[in-house]
Amino acid sequence: SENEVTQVNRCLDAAKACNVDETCQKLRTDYVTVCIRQSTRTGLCNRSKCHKALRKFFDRVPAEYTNELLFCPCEDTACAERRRQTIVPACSYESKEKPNCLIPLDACKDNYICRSRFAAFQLECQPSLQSVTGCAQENYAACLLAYTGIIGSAITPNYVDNSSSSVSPWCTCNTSGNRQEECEKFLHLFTDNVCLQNAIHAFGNGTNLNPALNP
Amino acid sequence: ARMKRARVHKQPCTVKELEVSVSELGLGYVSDETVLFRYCSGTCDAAVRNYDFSLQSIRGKKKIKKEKVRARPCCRPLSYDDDISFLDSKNHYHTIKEVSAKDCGCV
Repeated sequence: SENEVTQVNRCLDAAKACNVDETCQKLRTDYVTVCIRQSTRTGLCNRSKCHKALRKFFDRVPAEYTNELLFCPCEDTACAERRRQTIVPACSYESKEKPNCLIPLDACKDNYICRSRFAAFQLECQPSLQSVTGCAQENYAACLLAYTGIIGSAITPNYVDNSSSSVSPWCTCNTSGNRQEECEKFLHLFTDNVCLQNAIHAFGNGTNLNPALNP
Repeated sequence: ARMKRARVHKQPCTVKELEVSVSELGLGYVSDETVLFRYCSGTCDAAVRNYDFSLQSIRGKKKIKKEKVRARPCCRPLSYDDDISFLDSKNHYHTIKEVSAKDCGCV
């Protein structure tokens, strides 16, 4: 009803579910502690340690917890900001300036883990306009799993603000020179991907539970 | 009321748990996040040692007068749970230590 005082915040519920589960609570505390720790000398966090702890969290904690934290649907900014904060973006995501996307992309290709995780993401979240789901592979759960798989890598994606469910890695395609097309193809895999958006949306309203397609 | 009190008294020292909000911990953090708070509760009647009897006796004979002494074992945490992290209402993360009991015992 309109007079509803207590607003549902699925992202807050997700935090509670994680906190009362031993493994989820421990590994969440592990990455938060590493990602908020600042060097007394430089005043900066240790991004590589933060990324490693994030990968451990998303690799070891069951998707029933991690998906709720990362893809919880939101109707207000308090919820969406909590969702955006899940990966401790100040350390794991943002930096002073946005680099060109080819820099993190090339770094990813040079790293065995990132290269294979990115390949999985390209495959499982491949958009398709011919498909009802928007996904060439027709599998939302696999797309979300592949998305969480690249968190903690050079191309770590996140929500771009606290008012939408748009996601992107921290980079732009300005001044890409002769690799403009390659850069935009990479960036659009996040920012303009009907499969990924449908997968996130379907998770939020529970329609991902039965991925079987209607004839 | 006496029966209820007697029954409560029979419970030996053990770990209990409650789901509470971070704000309710009273540590000055404001957050709606729910955490598991474990605490020690129960009696230590079975854990009274010769030490306790002796101390009571000596205190009774006024050989110990000014000092504060405890002549009964007490149900307290023997160790604490792992650290707890949470996001506060201003969207800052915190990690807090030794908030929740892991094991309890009569000491």
